[in-house]
Amino acid sequence: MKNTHNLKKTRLSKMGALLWVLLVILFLYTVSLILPLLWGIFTSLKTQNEFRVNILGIPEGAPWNWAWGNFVYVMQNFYVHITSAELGSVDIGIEEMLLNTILYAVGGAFINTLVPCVVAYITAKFNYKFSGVIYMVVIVTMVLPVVGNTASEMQLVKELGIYDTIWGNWIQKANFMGMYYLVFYATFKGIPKDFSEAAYVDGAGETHVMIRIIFPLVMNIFGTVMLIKFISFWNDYQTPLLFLPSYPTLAYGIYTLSRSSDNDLNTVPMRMAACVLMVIPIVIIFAIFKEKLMSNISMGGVKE
Amino acid sequence: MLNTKNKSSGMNKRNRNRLIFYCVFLAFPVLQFCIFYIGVNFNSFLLAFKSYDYSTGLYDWVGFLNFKRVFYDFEHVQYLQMSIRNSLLLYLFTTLTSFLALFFSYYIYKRGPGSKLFQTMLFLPNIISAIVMVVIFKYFVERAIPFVWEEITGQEMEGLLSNLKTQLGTIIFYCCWTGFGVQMLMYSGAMSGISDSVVEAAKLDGATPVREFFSIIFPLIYPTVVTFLVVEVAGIFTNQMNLFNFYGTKAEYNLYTFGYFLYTKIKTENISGYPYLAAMGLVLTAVAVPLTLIIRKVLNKVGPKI
Amino acid sequence: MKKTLSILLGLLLCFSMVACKRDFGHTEKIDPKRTQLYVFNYDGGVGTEWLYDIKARFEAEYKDECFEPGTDKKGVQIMIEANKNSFNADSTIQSNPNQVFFTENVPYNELVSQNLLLEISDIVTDNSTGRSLESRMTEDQQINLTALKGKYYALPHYDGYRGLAYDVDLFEDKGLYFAAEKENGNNGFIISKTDKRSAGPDGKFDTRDDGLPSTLEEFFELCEYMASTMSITPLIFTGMYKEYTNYIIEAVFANYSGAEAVKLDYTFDSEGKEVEIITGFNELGGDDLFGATPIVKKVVITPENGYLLKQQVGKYYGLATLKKILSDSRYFSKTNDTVSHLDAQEAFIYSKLENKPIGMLVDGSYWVNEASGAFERSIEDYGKRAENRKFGWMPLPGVVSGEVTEENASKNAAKDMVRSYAYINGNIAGDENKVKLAKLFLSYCYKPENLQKFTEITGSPRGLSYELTSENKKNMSDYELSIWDMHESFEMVRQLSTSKLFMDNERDLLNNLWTSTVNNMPYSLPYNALKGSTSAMDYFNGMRISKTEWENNYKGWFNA
Repeated sequence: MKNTHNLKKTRLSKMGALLWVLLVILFLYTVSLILPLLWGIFTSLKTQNEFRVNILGIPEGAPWNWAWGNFVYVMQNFYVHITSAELGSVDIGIEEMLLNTILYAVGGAFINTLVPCVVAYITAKFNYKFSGVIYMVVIVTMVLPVVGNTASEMQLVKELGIYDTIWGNWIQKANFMGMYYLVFYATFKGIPKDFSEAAYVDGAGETHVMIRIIFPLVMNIFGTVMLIKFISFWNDYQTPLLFLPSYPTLAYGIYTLSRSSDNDLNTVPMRMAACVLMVIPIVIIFAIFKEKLMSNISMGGVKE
Repeated sequence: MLNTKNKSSGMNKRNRNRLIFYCVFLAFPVLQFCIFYIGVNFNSFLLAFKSYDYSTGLYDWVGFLNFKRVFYDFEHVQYLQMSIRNSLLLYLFTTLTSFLALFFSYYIYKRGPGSKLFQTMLFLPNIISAIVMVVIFKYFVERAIPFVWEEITGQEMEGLLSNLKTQLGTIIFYCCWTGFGVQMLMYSGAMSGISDSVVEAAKLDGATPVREFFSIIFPLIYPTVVTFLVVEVAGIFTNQMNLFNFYGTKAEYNLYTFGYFLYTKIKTENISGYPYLAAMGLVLTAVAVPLTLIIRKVLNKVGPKI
Repeated sequence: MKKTLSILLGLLLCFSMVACKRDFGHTEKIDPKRTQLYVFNYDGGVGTEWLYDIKARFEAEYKDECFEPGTDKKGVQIMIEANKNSFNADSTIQSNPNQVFFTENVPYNELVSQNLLLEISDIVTDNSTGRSLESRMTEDQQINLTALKGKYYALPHYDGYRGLAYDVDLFEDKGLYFAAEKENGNNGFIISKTDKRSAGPDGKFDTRDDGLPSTLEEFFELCEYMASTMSITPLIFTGMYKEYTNYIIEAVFANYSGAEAVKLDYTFDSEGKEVEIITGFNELGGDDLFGATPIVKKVVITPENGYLLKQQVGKYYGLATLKKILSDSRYFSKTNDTVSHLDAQEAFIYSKLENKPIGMLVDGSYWVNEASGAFERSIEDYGKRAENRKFGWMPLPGVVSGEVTEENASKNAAKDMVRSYAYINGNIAGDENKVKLAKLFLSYCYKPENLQKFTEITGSPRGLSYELTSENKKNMSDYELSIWDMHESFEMVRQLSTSKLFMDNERDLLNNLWTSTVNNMPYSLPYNALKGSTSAMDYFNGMRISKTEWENNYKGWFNA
C-alpha cells in the first residue's frame, strides 16, 4: 500500500513569487523564535549576580567559565518529596520520574489517540443515527465548560479503585472527545470506498478491514496526533499532581522545583536551567522520531 | 451505503455483522464516556438551576434565577462585553493564522529551501511547555525590545506588555506566533496524501505555484481545513488566549476572553459561585453549538469542488 | 548522522543524570514502633522551620505514651509534608492523607458548611493552662468562627501585614526622619542624628515610629525630599504581580477609616453607627493634598444600602495616595512585567550596597523570609557591608494633613489578606485514636510557650493575643520587633463575617472590591488605570454601583 512521494525539491531558481514571499516570512519567523530561545539558554548559564546586571547579553567569559554549575545544582535538587501512609516520606529521584513520565505520557498518548481514531472510523463509516449523536456529543463537550467537577471525579476514581495507578489513569484517558476525533473523522470520510470494497469481496471481516486495510492508510496522521498528545502529556503536571500523587513525573518535578522554597532555585537562571533540562529529552525524542512522524517523503498517505 | 436496501441474504448477514462490529467497538468508549464524563459532570450541569445554602451545606433548586442573572450581566457587566470583543478579535486572528499555516505547509510540501528546518521551527513552540515559552517571551518584549529601542532612538519605551495600549496586541501576537505547529503538521500531512499524478499532470499543464495551490492543493485538503475552522469557532468560547500563563488569575478585565473568564472564575470562585458559572456555561454552549454546526454546514457547501 | 547525534545526546543526558545523582529514597521511613501523625504545612510565608522545631519537642515529650491502644506502639512520629500546593476551596482535602493542616487562603465557611473539618471546640475552650485559646481571640474572631454551626473548626495560624518596609540603615544614614522641631530650616527633617524626632504616626514620643511620616502630606514630603535632595528612589514594587500596589491603597484605607469601617465590607451592618462616605467632589476647592476636595456625608450602613460602601472616604484617599506616587516617575523604581516580587526584594536589598538607594519596598511583612537567598548573595558580593542589615515596618499614615496628636492619630487597622488557619481533617472523625492524637498535637502547637516560640522563630505573630518574654525578644531582629509592635497596636480585620449576604457572594465581593469603570473601560486593579491618565477621583467615581445593580447582583439574598 505504500506509495513513494516523489515530489522533487524546489530549487531557489525555480521558486515563484509565492514561495519567495513564504521563504522570507519563514526565515523571519525562525529568527524570531531562535533569539528568545537562545536568550533562555544563555540565561541558564549565568549566575544570579551576573543576571542582575547582564540580562540580555551572552554570559561573560569563555564558555567553560559559564555557570554550568546551575545544571548540576538543579540536577541535585531535582526530586519530589512525597509523603504517603504506605511509604512514609520519600524523595523521588530523576530516574523514577523519567520512568513515570514515559509510562504516563507514552501510554496515555497511545490510548488517547487510539480511542478517538477507532470511534471516528466507526462513526464516519456507518451512517447509523447513533454516529450522528456521537458527533454532536464531541462538538458539545468541546464547548461546554464544566464547573467544579474535580471533587466528584476524584470520588469516582477512588470508588473504582483506580486512584493513584498508572493503568487507572490510562482508563481515564480512554475518551474519544476533542478536536482529534474531528480530524480523524474528516480523514476517514475522505478515504474512498474502493479500498475496503476489494477486501469485502475477498471475504474479509470488518475488524480485518479496519485494522489491516484502513488504519495503515492513516498511520501518519495517527503518529502525528500521538506525538502531539505525547508532548502535551509530557508537559502536563496537573493531572499527575491530582490523580497520581505517588507517581511524580518530570513536569511535576519542574513544577515543584519552580515553587521550591530553596532560595538558590528561586532565580531566573536556575529556572531557565530547569526548563532547558526538561526540554532536552523531548527535543531528543522529537529529533529521533521526527523523520518518521513529520516527514512527507516516504510515508504512506491517503491517496486519491 | 448502509441505507440501501439489499435483498440478498449475504448482504443481510453482512449488515448484521456490521451492527455487531459497531456495537462491540463502540461499547467501551461509550461506557467510558458515560462514567467519566456524564457520571462525573451531571451534577455540575444541574448546578445551573441551584443555589448554595451555607447553613445546610446543600444546594437548593432555584429554577432559572442564575440564568436571569447571566442575561442581566451580559447587558450590564463591562468585562463580559469586553470578553465578547476580545474573543471575536482572537478568533479573527487565529483564523488568519490558520491560513498562514496553510501557506507554510504548502512551502514545506513543495520542499523549498530550508523546509525541514522551518518545519521543526514551526513545531518547536508546541514542544516547549507554555509556561516556559511565556517566561521567555515576557523577557523578550519587556526587556529586550525596549532595551534595543532605547539604544537606537534614545527614547524611553515601556514594555509591550506593561503598556496598556500594546498589551492586547502583544498577547494576540503571542497566540498566533506559537500557534502554527499543529495545523502545519496536519495540513502538510494531508498534502502529502495527495496523489503525485494529479500534481504532475497540473505541472505539465504549466500551472504556477499560486495556481497549483489554489486549484489543486487547497481543494484536495479542504476537509482538513474545514475541521480546523470549525474547531476555531468553538474556540471563540473556550480560548483562554494564554492569559493564565501570562497573569495567573489576575489578568485585567480589558483582556478577558470567555475561555479565560470561565477558567479563572472556576479557579477563584467558591462553592456558592459555581451555579452562576454553570448557568453561564450552558448559555454559552447554547450559542456555540448551533453556531459551530451552521458554520460547518456553510463551509462544506461553499467549499471548492474538484 | 542525525540519529547518531541524538543517541549520543541521549547517552550524554543519561550519563549526566547518573553523575549528578544524589542519594534519593526515604528521608523519613515509617517507624512501625510509633504512631504516625501526618501534618501539612504551606511552605510560603512563615516557612516550615517552626514546625520541625515543634516536631522534635513533641516527639520527645510523648515518646513513652501509647496512642494506639491494643498495639505495642509507643510514641509519635510526625510526618511533615511542606510544599506550596494549596487546598483552596478544594474538597480534595477529603481524600488527603494529612491529618493536621496549616494553610493560607482558607475558605473557612465553605469548608465548615461541607463538614470537611473536624470540630475542635474542646481544644479552643479548654482552660486547663489558665487561659483558654478562645479568650485569646477577639470578640469578632469568636463570633465569626462559630457563625455557621456554633462550634470551632479552626484556629488562626499567623498574621501577615501588607504595606511598606523601609531600610532603617538608610533612613539613619541620610536622616530621613522628621524632626520634632518643624521649622528647623531643613524642610522639617532632622539635621543631625541626635535631633529630637517627631512623634510619628501614633502621636506618641519615644515609640518605634518616631520620625516616620504621620500624615500623607508628610509621606509625600518624605518622597520629595528623598527624590530631589537625597537622590534616593522612594519606592520599589513588583511589576509582575501588580496587585501588590493594592497594599498601599488598602493600608491607607484601613488606617484612615479604622477597623469598624473596614469591617463593613464584610458585615454590611454598621449597627446604627455613622460612616463617612463621599457624595461628590468640589473640584475648585483645591486645598486638599490631592486636588479636588471631597464632599463628605455620614450614613448608617445596612445590607440594603451596602453599595454606599464603595464611596467610603478612606478608599478615596488610598487611591489618591497611589495615584500621587504613580504620577511622579521619580518616586518609584522603573518596573515591568518581568520584575517579580523576588526581583523587587533583591533590588531593594542591593540598592544601598550599589549606592543607588531605594527607601521602601511594597510587600508583605514576611518578605524577609522570601528574600533570604538574596540576602545571602548580597553578602557573597559585598561582604561585611551587607551583613546585619536593619529594616523596619512603616505604617502608612491614615491622616491626610495637619498636626497629629494621640487623639487624631491614624486608626491603626490592618486587613488580614493571608487568611491562614490551622485545622484538622474531617476525614479522621471516625477514628477515635487519630482524633485524640491530632487534637493533642494541635493544642500543643498553641500552648503559650509554643505561641512565643513560633514568633521567635518565624518573626510573625500568631493571630491570637499573647505576650513575648524579654528572652524571646532578644532573639528577634529589629524588623521582627517592628512587626510585633503592629500586632500589639493594630486591630486586624479578618475577611469573615456572619452576614449571609457576604457568605453567599464572598468571592464576588472580595474580587470586586476595587473594580471600577472609567470611560467604558472596566478595571479590576486600580494600578492599571492610575498609572495612565485616569485620576483617583475618576477611578473612585467609577467604582460606584447603583441601588438596582446592587440588588440585581446579589439578588439571591434580597429575594430570600
